[in-house]
Amino acid sequence: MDRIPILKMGHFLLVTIQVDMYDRLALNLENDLINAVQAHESKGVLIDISAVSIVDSFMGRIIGNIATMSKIMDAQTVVVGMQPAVAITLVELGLPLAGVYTALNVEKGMELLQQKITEEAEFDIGEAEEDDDQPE
Amino acid sequence: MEDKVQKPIIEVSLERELDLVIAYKKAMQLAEISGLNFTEQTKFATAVSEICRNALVHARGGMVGFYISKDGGQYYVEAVVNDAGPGIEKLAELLNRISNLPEGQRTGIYNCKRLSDKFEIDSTEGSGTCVRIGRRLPANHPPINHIILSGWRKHFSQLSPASPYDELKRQNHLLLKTLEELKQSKAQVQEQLEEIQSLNSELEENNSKLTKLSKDYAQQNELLLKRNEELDEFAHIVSHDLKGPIRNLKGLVQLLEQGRGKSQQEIISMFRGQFQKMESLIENILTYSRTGHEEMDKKEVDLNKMLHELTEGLSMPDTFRIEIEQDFPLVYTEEIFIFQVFSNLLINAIKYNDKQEGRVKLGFEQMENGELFYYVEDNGLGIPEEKRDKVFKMFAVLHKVEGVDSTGIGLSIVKKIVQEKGGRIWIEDPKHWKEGSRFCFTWPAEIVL
Repeated sequence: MDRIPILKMGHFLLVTIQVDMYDRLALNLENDLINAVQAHESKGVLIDISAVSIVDSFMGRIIGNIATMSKIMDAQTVVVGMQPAVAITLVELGLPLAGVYTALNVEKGMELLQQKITEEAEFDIGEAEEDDDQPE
Repeated sequence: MEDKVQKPIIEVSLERELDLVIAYKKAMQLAEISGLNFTEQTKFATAVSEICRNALVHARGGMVGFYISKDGGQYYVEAVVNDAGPGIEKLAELLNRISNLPEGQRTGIYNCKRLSDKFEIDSTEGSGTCVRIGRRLPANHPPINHIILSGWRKHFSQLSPASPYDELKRQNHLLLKTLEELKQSKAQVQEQLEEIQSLNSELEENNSKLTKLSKDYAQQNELLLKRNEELDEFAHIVSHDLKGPIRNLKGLVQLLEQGRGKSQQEIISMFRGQFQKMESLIENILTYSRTGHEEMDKKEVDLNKMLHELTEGLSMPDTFRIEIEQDFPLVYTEEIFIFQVFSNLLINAIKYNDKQEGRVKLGFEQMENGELFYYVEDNGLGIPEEKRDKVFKMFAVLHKVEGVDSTGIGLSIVKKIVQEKGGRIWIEDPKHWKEGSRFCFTWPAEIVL
């Protein structure tokens, strides 16, 4: 069975979809990604779809699912490189990919991920500090 | 272009997930070639992908064909997805319900409708669903005619495969087609072969019939020739032999006229003698010509009993002995004929015997092929080998014996009877004596046990 490779880069997982996506492949990717997030305790997932020319409702749902699941597993998902035509189609399809962060390219995607993680960490520390301030 | 029954430009069968990839890739290619911009191409291909997935998921497969159509002065690139699935029950209700769902939860059909300029769905329960999605071509698109369409068809048929799977699928399809053709031609060949075989067998049958007929003709011809020959011979012999007594009578009349010699009494008795000879000749000739023609009823014949009766009734010198060597079998045949054969052979054996103690042995033997033959063996004058065939001819008398009146017809009658009944007759050297002859003959008849 074909698989899409998942690369580990520090705290992040990097996925570049270079082949034609079909349903089984997409479902496998979903599964593999979630397992990899758990195995590597990753903080972020970056999916590059610059080579994908078609995202229909099924694929859109898969991307949405990956984002939601990652979030539950405490990881952020950023989709990068979406072709303008795909974006237009997705909107017309009524699939705005809510809850999925997007960036124009891989570099910006990485920056976004870093930023998100830092924000979260700060938010956590802030929360912890708030806890400390509470009177005993 | 308005006719809806035009041949599709491309056709993709939907059997497994990978076919979806091929379908949307072809949609993309056709959209591109027909002048849609990239975004439009993507929309069209996505819509195709949606509907094809529906066909695959809900109807377990189907077929997508791509067309160019013209409607109200506008060209459309169209994809028609057909499936043979269970169909959609209450289509209108379903469409209504979908449109009321909140955004994000609507299904492929609805989304697809939003992506297309033209959307028709037709479904009847039990006989599958047909979805037609169209994307309008730019208004300034140059006219598309049949030549252009056939050019596109050719282009797509020669396009390199979208993926190894596409190539595999194409080759598989080709193989299946070839196989089907092969099957058909094989069936055709088989049919032709059967026809040829039946014709052949008919021909063979006719041939064998013809061969049999021609064989029959040849046989009859041969028989006819033989009969003719016999008749010629017969006429010749009859005229020759009957002339003898007539010549004698003529001589006697001359004597009478001249009033010479002999007394009247003597002449009358000589006349009588000649008449008698003629009479017996004529009688024998009649017997010969009738021989074997009559159809007699077959019955069980006790040869033993018959032969004993026969030998007792024969007149012969006191010193003459007839010995019956074995117990003869019981046969199923026409008694009168076999009686005649034995009787003639025995009379001949008695007639032409020069020995003081004449002897005749009667018996039968079995040949190598299991056939029985009977024999009548005497110790008489014997017949030289070269003359053995001749004695069966009519009026052939080998030995003139004093006091024996022979017409030379007896043995020819025997031969004729034996041959008419399907047997053979021949003469051998005697086995019991130095001199004499042994007449053997076969007599096809059922032996009663």
